[in-house]
Formats: sequence, structure tokens, C-alpha cells
Amino acid sequence: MYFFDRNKEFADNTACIDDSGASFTYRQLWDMGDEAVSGISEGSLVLMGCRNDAESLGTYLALLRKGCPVILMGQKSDVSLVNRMIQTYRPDEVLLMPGEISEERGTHRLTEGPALLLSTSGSTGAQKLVRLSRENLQSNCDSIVEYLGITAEEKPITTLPMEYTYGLSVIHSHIAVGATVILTERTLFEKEFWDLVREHGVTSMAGVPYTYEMLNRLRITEMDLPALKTLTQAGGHLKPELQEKMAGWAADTGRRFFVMYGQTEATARMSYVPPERCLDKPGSIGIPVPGGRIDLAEDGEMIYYGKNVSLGYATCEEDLLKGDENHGRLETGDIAYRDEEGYLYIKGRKKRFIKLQGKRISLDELQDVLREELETDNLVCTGRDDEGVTLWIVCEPDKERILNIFAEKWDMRSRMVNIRKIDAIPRNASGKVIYADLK
Amino acid sequence: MTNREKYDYAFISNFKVKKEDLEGLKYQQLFEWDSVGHMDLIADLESAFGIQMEMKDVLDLSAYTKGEEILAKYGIDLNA
Repeated sequence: MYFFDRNKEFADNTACIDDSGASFTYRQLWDMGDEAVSGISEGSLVLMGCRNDAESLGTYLALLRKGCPVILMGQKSDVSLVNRMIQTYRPDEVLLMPGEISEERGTHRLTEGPALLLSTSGSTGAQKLVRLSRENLQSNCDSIVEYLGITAEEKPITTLPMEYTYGLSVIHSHIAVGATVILTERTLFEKEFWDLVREHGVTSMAGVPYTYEMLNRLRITEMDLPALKTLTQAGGHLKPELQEKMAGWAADTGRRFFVMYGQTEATARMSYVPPERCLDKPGSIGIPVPGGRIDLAEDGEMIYYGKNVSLGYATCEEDLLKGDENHGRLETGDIAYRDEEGYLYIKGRKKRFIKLQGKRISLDELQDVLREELETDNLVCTGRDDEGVTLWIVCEPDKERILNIFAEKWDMRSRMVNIRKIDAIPRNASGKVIYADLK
Repeated sequence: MTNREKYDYAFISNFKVKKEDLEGLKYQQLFEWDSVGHMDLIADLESAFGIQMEMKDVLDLSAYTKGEEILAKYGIDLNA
């Protein structure tokens, strides 16, 4: 049985409660979803807009049950981005997506292959999707349920968007066991969010590094939240002092704080630090999730093996028909070392990627798109996780236009973008950019 | 700088807005004012005025116009 199937064992449990205040049993959620997708046939490609609410969740699960591959995008996505996605993949149906949406549709019958197509965060310029099978989803879900020990008693609250692989994995792993998910669009900086946490007795929260910066600012360690027992962190490196603070607080108050590591390419998660080791393994991404294995290549690159490794990428409609290209093996692009107890520590990246607000962003892709948009090859992008992207450009930059491109194409705020004018791009004799000289 | 200028500057520098647009600014209604932007705004206000804001006030400061009342609690008069 898959996590999205009708499981009689918990049909009468409460599946979710959303911002409308309504609660839905699993049976109600399944029925509502099946009704919503009743006119869609198996194998149809569906682009679905989502937000953290019961309608999105019910519809999404029903599409998975029916065997309709889903391209999942946030309802708040930029319309031009949605339309480029529609033009690239020509879905048969578009559901729950507001705005002036392109009318273009295709005809697909994808009865095997991908169940879910997720954008590789950040690299939206190329409309690149990760192809995930139902086995991928189920296998990662099983691992997560096991290492977090998730039961039907859990009540997580959504702190991340549903279309984001980590946010989605929180939903999958709780729906799988009959738990109650508090679905909200509220942010940590709204009173209503904390009202929900208290009213429903929320038991767990998930966050990327900036979520923990916020929780720290709100002084979560001083809040009275007796039901809250589990906190998980992924989506990039948490500052060591903050990790120590959170892990210390958790240990002192009988809570569990999990540091984890993952990528969309592996469905969501690949490793975790057992909470009892969090304080003595600072900076570590831990050990592989149950069912997974991590080898280190000669250059230190982590190679992950497991059933949660995606089938591959898609960059055009024809790619949706491709089979499994990865065969359970993923080159993570992260360089790591392993201590004597088997704990992994990331020390660098093989390719030019950065992680911003939990999203993986390819600097080379940014650079390519900017060169095209600005019609100049005289620019390069560098970046750091804690500073964002720096654009080095030779001509006089039109800052407003550049910031608009970052906002529209990659949903990036101006605080994440630094623009620097330089006299020339430093290159070696063979014309390769010397990134180290850009500072 | 006057208190009002310091207050305005926190918004202008964080959200890249013009002075004439300040009055209408609301949390999440402006692309740049998302939750991370809010965190940065609060940090800048706290350091500009040398205060530490209560959680309730951090949550309540959801519009530019709310600052006057909230900062008054910390003895800061934006109209001084």
C-alpha cells in the first residue's frame, strides 16, 4: 500500500485542519480529492497549483492514486513561470492555478514512469524537473517514518510550502501513518500561527536554516509549548552556535532536534543526525537514512544509493517518457569526509552551487540566463550561502532591471543579490574565469 | 537622524522602496517584505533604537503605520 492510498485502518482519523478552520477525516479528504479529479483519466499529465490547504492536499493525493503524473507548483508562482512550464510540458489539465494561465494543452498517457515532477529549486530558468516515481516517494516516506518514529498521534504544522520537496516530505510521512497535519499559510511572524500551534497542540515543526533564525528571534526557547516535541532542520547548513543552542534546549527539555540532509534528486532526504548525537557531532549531516547508503568517491564526493533516488531529470516534454536513468545512484555534488563513527561532514561543493533559503541554486545557470537577458557575456555570478549571489558585470549595471530579473525568474529578493561593476572579468590564458580573483 | 528618519530608513534600505510609498507598506503585501525581510527589519530597528522587542510586538509590526504605537512602548517617539 502506498501512502496516498485509502487505508481503512485510519479512515476516521483527522487527516488535516486548514486555515478555514475546517477539519477533514482521511475518508473526507480522499472523497473530496477523488471528486475533484473525477473527470481526469489515468496517465494524464496534470499541472497543479498548491498551497497549504485541504483542497490542495486532497487533490494531490487523488492524482497520485489515480496515476496521473503531477507537476506541482505553488499557487503563488509567477504567472510567466507557470506559463513557461505549460508551454514546455503541455499538461493535459491545469488544476488550482489562479491567474491568466496559458490555454495550451497536450495529450499524454503516462501510465508508467514519473508520479511527481518537482522543479529543482532555483534552476527554474531552464524549467528543469526532477522525475520521481511512486516507489521513490514511498521509499523515502518509509525511511522518514522509521528514523523519526512518526505515529498517528503526531500533529505537525506546515512551516514550508507544499511544493518544496522538504515541506512535501513532511506531509507524505505523516499522511502515511494517519497523523493529523495542521495546514497553514500563516508564517512564523503572524500571531495566528502561534494560536494554531497552541490550540491544536502541535507536536512537530520543520525548518530550513532561516526558520531557525526566526524561531531564535522569537525566543522559542522561552515559549510555553508543552506539546511540541520534535524539531527537524534541513535545507542547508545551520550556524554552529544556533545548532548548539537548539540542540541544547531540546536536550534539556525532553525534545528531539534532528539535523538532516537531502536533495529533490533523492526525493527529499538522504541523511540525518540522531538527536542524542546532535550536541557531540556539530556541523555533521549525520548518517544515511534507513535503506540508504553513502559512499565517498576518490575526490570526496558523496555518492548516495537508495530507492529514493529519482529517475532522472526532464527538460522537455519528450523527457517525460524516459525510464530510470539513475538506477538508484546519485552523485550529490557535495564533497564530504567521514569521521571514525561514520558521521559525514560536508566541506565543499563539486559544482558551483549555493543554497539560499533552503533552495539549491546553480550559479552557472544564473549566469547563462543573465547573459542572455542582458545581452552581454561580460558578466559572471559568484555566491555564498550566507551572502547570496554576487553579479560581477563589466558594463554600467541597470540595477532595477537586474533585480527584476532575479525576482521574476528565481523569486529572489534584493537582499540576496549584490551587484558589482568591474573593469574586466579575470580569465586565465585559456579563457576560463578565475573565480577566486573576484573579491 | 531623527527617530522618524531612522524608522523610515529601516524600511527603505531593507525593502528598496521610495519614501512616498512607505505609508501603504504591509507585511507580505510587498515582494521584499517576506518573513526573512521581516526578521531583518526587526533587527535593524532594534539596533537603530537600541531596544529589544517583545515577541508580541515583533508579530504586531505588520504594517509601516503600526510602528508609531509599538515603538512608543519602548519610549521612542517617532514624531519627536
